[in-house]
Amino acid sequence: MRLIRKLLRKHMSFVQLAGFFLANFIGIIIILSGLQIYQDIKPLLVGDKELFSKDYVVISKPVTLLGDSTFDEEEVAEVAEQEWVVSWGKFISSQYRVDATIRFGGRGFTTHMFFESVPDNFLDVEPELWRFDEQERRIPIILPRNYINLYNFGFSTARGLPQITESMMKSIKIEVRINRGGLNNDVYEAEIVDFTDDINTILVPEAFMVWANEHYAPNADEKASRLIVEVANPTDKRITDFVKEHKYQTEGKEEQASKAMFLLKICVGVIVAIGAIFSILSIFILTLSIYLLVEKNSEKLQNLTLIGYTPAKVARPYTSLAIVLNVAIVALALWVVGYLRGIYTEKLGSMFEGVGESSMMITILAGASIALVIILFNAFVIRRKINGLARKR
Amino acid sequence: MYKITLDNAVAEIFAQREDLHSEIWLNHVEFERGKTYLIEAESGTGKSSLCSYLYGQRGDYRGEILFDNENIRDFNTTRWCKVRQHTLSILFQDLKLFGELTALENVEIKNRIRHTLEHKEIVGLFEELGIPDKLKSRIDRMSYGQQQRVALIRALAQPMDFLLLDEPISHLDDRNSDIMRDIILRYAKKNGFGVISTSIGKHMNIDYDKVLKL
Repeated sequence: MRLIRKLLRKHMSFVQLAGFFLANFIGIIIILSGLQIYQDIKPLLVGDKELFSKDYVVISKPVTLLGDSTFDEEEVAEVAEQEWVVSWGKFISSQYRVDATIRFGGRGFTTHMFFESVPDNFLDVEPELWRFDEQERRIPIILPRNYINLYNFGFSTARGLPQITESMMKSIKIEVRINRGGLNNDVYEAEIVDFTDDINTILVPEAFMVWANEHYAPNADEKASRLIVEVANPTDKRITDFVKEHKYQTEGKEEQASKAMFLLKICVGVIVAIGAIFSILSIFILTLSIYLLVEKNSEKLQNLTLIGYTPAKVARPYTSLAIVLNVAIVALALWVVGYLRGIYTEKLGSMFEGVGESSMMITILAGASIALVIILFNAFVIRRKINGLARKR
Repeated sequence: MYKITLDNAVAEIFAQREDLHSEIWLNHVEFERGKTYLIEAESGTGKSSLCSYLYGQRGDYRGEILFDNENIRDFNTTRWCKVRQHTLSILFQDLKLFGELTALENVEIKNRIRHTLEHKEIVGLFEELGIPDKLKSRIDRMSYGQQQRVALIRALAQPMDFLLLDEPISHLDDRNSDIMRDIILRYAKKNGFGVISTSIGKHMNIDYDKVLKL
């Protein structure tokens, strides 16, 4: 191998290789940093965790002095048959009286309360936590994050009470009393399993809601208070048109976050595309440069195959060159991206929570795949060229 | 491989010629392992073409050339690589040495494919051929006659059933020609390969099993 390398080193153009190195290096830094920034900024826009796993819109009716703000069967059916609806579910609200008591630090306070439920398949919670068993008398609930904020920044400071964190809140047992009629109450233990910015209500599992309404308010009419609709594209104009036409209201993450998310995706798309153009051009430079190299050495390469070397063996120095160059480029680019990321996460991290918590794993994998694809492409081009030289005329 | 057969083979450029008086073209010729052959040719009778066909460099001939019973026209690149590693060795008329490598490196680059010759043996051959001082010299700084001797050593650096010699002594004096003959016959006897040598005038002084006019 040493002799072959010695033989083929001649005619190698340092300038061409450096040109490729630089161009591909820049291209790959752009691609990888685009990807990394996307992953680092995404949590800012969608919250650290999404409760709802899909894109959805919540449709409700405006509250008026007269009239009912629930949806009847006909109206539900009309929404359900819209083309932009992927799947849908009803919000069901509790039809009975609920009181909740929280005790901590020797004090306790009690409040009237309500529950709502949506079908489980709209929620992204662990099924193990999100279940209801009549025997256990345990109700998992999801609270809006606003509630804690209200308590922490409004209520507790005014009353001189301690502030509480989410994890503390999750460990607090809440006593829930459901009125059975008259003065009789059934006592349950509620447990907060999650918080959400996505929706402003107190959610319980649908299984519990259906059972409880049946059990405690068998005669009440179970109408949909709101509708949750899964959509393919929350920015679809047909949705706004439909809502406007029926004088409904919408809420959901399509509002702020979706628009910001949409913009972020476009920006990252543009950045990655620019990087990709750089990289593709640079791959052309490398391919051309290897082509020229093989061309200039064609007589030697041919003679090597004539004395018994296989095209694969003759191609190896060139393939190694492509491997070394591309691996070096991607490794260096990853290092640069890591360095840049250190700078921006420090700056952004002091302003926003959650920046830089994601890892570089996806970026590293993307880099490795890019290197692999380029190497395979180069190897293919080299082999083709050398096979052509070795073939009988 | 025991036998190379040319069956009605002819270079395409001669196919239409009617005044072809050749003992090879358009004839049935067999070369057997272990025997020595001399192909005498005049310029322009297709001597180099014949070598190119036998060595799989070119395919512009009609008729058939068989290695044992296999038609070499069907051999692919991989197969030819195997032939050139195990079966057939050649001393090219234009030598095809690598100018920027030393004499020793030129032999080694071939020898390391099959590891046929010991280093000591290579050095011994350089001495026998009168160029022991050229081991570390770059090939392009050596005379053609010296290069021819290096090319012979390289041609011996592989296992083979036949050795093709395309005008092997064109630039050698009689003494060196005899040394080369002795080496070739010694290796042929030891390894049992056949020798097919071409010449347009000067040829090695061997008691050939068969002399053919091209």
